[in-house]
Amino acid sequence: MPPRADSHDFLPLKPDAFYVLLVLLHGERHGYAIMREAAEHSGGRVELQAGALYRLLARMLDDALVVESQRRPAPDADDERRRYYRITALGKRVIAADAERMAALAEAARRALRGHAALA
Amino acid sequence: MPDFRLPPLNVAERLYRALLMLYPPRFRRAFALDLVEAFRDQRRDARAIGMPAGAFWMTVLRDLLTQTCAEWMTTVWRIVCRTHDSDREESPMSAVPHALRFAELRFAARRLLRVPSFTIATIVVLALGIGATTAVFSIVNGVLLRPLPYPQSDRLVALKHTLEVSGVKDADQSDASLLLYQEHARAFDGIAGARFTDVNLGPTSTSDRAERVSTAQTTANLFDVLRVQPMLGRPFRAGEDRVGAAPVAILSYELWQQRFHGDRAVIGRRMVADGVSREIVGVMPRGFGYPSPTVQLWIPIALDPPHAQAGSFNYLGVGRLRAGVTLAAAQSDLASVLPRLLDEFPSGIPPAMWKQAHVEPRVLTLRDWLVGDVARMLWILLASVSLVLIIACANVANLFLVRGESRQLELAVRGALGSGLAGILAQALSEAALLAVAGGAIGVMLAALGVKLASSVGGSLGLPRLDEVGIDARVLLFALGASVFCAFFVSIVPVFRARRVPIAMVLRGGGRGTTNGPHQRARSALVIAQTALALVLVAASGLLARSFMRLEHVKPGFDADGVVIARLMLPNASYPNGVSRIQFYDALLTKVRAIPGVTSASLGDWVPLSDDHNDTVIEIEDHPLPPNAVPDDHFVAAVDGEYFHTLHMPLLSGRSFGPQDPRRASLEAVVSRAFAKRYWKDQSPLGKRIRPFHDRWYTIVGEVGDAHYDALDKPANDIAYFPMVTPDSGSSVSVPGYLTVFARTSLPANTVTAAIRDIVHSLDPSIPTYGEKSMSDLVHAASARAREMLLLLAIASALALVLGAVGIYGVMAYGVSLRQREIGVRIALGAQPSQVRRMISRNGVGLAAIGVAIGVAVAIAVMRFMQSLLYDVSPTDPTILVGTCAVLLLVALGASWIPARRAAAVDPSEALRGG
Repeated sequence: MPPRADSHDFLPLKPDAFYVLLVLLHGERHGYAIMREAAEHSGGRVELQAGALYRLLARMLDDALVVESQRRPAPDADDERRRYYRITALGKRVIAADAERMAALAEAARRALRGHAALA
Repeated sequence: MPDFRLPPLNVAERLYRALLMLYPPRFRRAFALDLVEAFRDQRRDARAIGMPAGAFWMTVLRDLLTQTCAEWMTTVWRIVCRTHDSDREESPMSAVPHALRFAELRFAARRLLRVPSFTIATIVVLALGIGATTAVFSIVNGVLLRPLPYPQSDRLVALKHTLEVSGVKDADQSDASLLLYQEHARAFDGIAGARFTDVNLGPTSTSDRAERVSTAQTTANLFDVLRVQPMLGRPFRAGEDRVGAAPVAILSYELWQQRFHGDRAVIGRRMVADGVSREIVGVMPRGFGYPSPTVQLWIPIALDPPHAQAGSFNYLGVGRLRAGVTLAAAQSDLASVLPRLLDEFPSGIPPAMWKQAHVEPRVLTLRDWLVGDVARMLWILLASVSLVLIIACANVANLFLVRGESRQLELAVRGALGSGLAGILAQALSEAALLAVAGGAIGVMLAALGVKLASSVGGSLGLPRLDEVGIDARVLLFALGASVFCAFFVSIVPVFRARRVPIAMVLRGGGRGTTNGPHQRARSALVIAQTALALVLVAASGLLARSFMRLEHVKPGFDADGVVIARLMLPNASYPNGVSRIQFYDALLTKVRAIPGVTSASLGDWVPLSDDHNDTVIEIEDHPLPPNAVPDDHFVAAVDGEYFHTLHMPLLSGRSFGPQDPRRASLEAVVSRAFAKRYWKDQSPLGKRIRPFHDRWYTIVGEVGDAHYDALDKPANDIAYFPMVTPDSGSSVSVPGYLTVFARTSLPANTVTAAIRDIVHSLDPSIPTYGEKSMSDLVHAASARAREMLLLLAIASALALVLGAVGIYGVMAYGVSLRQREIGVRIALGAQPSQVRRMISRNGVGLAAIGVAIGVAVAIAVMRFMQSLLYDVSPTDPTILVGTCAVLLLVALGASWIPARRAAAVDPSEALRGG
C-alpha cells in the first residue's frame, strides 16, 4: 500500500500513537525506551506493553511516520543489539497537525466554558 | 536478522520467546528479537521495583493474548483484501459488529441447529477446555492474584533475614531485631512481630473442658500495622507488649461464638491461658486470622528490652511500607540499621561469629511470603491446563475445517455472487461466537463444580488462602476472554480456506479427492500438535504416578501401624520446674501403660513427619572447629528410654536411656545411624562426646536406625536424641513442658486417645490433650501432596487424551469421506479391504508418530520444571517416556481404526457414481 502523504489522513491520533511520536521528537529511541518515556510523558496514563508497542510501530513503519534509524547514538551508550527508531518528516507533520487540532478543540472548549461561566 | 544479537536466554526469556510463536510469522520475523529485548528490560525493571512475578506475567500474558489476536485479525484481513483486489484496507474489527448483528446470529443459530452432532461436539469440547482452564485460573486468582484482605495490602511486607550458617539460609526476626527496627527503621509506617504459641485455655464455665487453642503472641501494634480493628472492644495498647504489663487477650470471632456464645458482655471478663489469668479486651471480626487463618486467640508478647536476644529468630516480622517506598528501599533501610543490633542488644554473641553468619535483612511482599513455593506449582498447573484449552480449540477449528469443506460449494457461490469475504468471516465468527458463548457458559459451571472439589481436597495440598478461592468478576472475565480467544481462533481458519478455493474448481467438483493441499496439511498439523501436547501431559502424570509409587514404598524408619499419639503441654505457671513435670509424666505413663490393649508407651518432643521441628548447633568433641566457627546445625529430639521400643526403631548398638531420675540428670545421648556415619564413618560412635550449643558434653551410649523426621521425599535426617531429663544451669534439672505421648496398641485409635484424654484430665483438669491421631495417618498425609497433584494432572491428561483422540478421529474420518472416490477406484481395481484399512490407519498412526516425536522433545525440555515435585524419579525417566509414547500410538490406532473400517466398506460403484 503506498504511504498516504496527507498528514490529515492520520488524524485524530490515538493517545498511544501520539505519545510514541512525541517521545521520538526528542530523538532516536529503542523500543523499551519508548515504552518507558511514553509512560513518563503521559504521567502514567499511557502504559504501552511490548506487543502493543511493536504492533503500533509496525503500522507506523508501514505508514512511513517512523523509520528504523541507520545512525546510532554515541558509541559508548549504544547497545549493539537494539534497533532504534526515528520520526520522519511526515511523522512530524502529523503530530504537529494533531497538536494543532487538539489546541483548537481546547480553545473552543475554553471559550464555550467562559461564555457558560458568564451566563451563570 | 542474525540471531547473534541475543545473548543466552534464561528460562523466563525462553518461555516468552516460545510464546511469541503465537504471533503471525510476518510480524514475528520482524519483531521477535526486539520483543524479547523489551521483555528482558521490562522484567529487570519489574524486579527492581519488587513487582511479584505473578503480576508481571499477568501483564505480559494479557498483552500477548490481546495483541496476537489483533495482529492475526490484521494479517487475515490484509490477505483477504489482497485476494479481492480491494484497495481500501478496513480495520478487521469491522467484521465483529457485522458478525454480532442479531440477524447474522439468528442465521448462525439456524445453521448450527441443522447440524446438531457438530454443534454438540463443539460445545462439549469447548466447555471442557474453558471449564478446566477457568477452574485452575480461579484458584490462581484466589491464591496468587487477589489482594490480601487488609486495607492497602500491597504495602504490607514480610520481614526476614538471610544468613549463612550451615544448614540455615533464612530466618525471621528476634525480639531484639524487632525492637531495633521499630525504633530506627524509617521506611515503614509500622513494624510488628508475631509467633505461634498455642495455649491451654482453662474452662470458662463448669460445663467446659480445658482446650488447646491456636494462639498468636504479637507485638501490641500488630492490628495497627494490618489496619484491622476489633469488632468489639479495643486492640492492644502500646506498652501491653512489655514484661510486667497487665495480661490481656483478644478473641477470634469463632472462639467468641464457641466459648461465649457471642455474648457482647465478654469484654472485661477473665480467662485462664497457660495458667495465667487474662482480661479479654477485644473480639476480632469474622474471617480475620493472622499469621494464619486458624489462629483463635491473640496475646501480647512480653518484650524485655534489656534481656532481648539478638540471635533467636522466633518471630514473624510484618511491616507496612510508607507510601511510595519500594521493597528495595525498605530492604536497604533495614540493612543500614542492622549493624547496630549487637551494640544495642549484646546477647552474649561474639561479634566475629555474627559477622561470619552474614545476616542480611530481606523484605518481600506479605502475599509472596504467604503463598510461598505453591506459586510455582500453580503456574505449572495453569500452563498445563492452558494446553488443554489450546487442544480443545485446535479440535474445534478442525471440525470447522471439516464442515467448511462440505460447505465449499455454498461459500464459493456466495463469493461469486458478490458476498464479500467480510461476510464470510462474519458468518464464521457469528457461529463461533455462539458456540464459544455456550461452551463458555457450561465451562463456567464446570469450573464452579471443579473449584468446589478442589477446595474440599486442596487443603491437603498445602494450598494457602483456599478459603478465598471462588468465581468472581475477574474469573468470569477470564472465562469470557478464553471464549473470545476460542471464537477468533476457530473462525480464522475457514476464512483462509475460503480465500484459496477458486470458484470454477468447486463448481466442477474438482475440489474433492485431493488430500495433499495446504488445507490437508493444516489439519495434519493440528493432529500432530495435539498429539504432542497430550504426550507432554500424559508423560507428566506418568512421572508423578511413578514418583508417588516410589514415595509409598519409602520406609519411614519406624513402624507407624498401631501407634497413636496425643500431645500435651504443661505451662510454666503451674509446672515451674523439672521435678514437678517429671512427676506428672511418670504418673501419666504409668496409667497409660496400664490401659488394657496398650503394649508400650513413651514420651518424645518431636512426632516424626508432623510439623514439629527442633534443631540446634552441635559441637563434636573429636572434630574440633577453628575459633569463632559456627558448628553444624542438627535435628535434636528429647525422648524417654522406651521411645525407640514403642516406635520399633532398631537399636543398632549400645543401649537406650535408663529410667528418668528426677534427682539426677544423665549426660547421655543416642544418635541415628546417619549422624554416626557423618562423623565417624564405620567406627562405632559409642563413647564419643557431643555438645549442644551453650550446653555440657553428652556421651553417646547408643546408635539407632535412621528415621524420616522431616519428610518422606527427602533423605532420612541425621538426628541426636537427648534424654528428657537434662541438667539445668543450677543444680536442678530441665524437662520439656511440651511433649507427646506415644502408645502402641492393638485397639482402635480413638478408644486409646479417649482413654489418654481421661487420664490427663484426672491428673489435672486444666491440661487438655490435643493433636490426637494415629501415626499411620501422619505417614499417609506425608505423601498426600503428591497424591492430590497426581489426581489433578491425571484428570488433565485424561482430558487431553480424549480430546486428542477425538481430533485424530475427526481428521481421519473426514479424510476418508474426502477420498471416497479414490478409495472406490482402488477397490474397483482389486485392492483388498485389509489393504485399505491398513492404508488409512497407517496414515493416522503416522501423523500421531510425528506428534509423539515432537512431544517427547518438548517433554524432555519442560519436565525439568517438575523436578521439585518428583521423588527418586528422573524427569526424563525412559520407562515413562516410552510407555507414554506407546499409549498415545495405541490411542491413535484406535481412533483411526473406525474410519479405516468405514473406508474398507466403501462400495466402489456408489463412490464412483456419486463423486
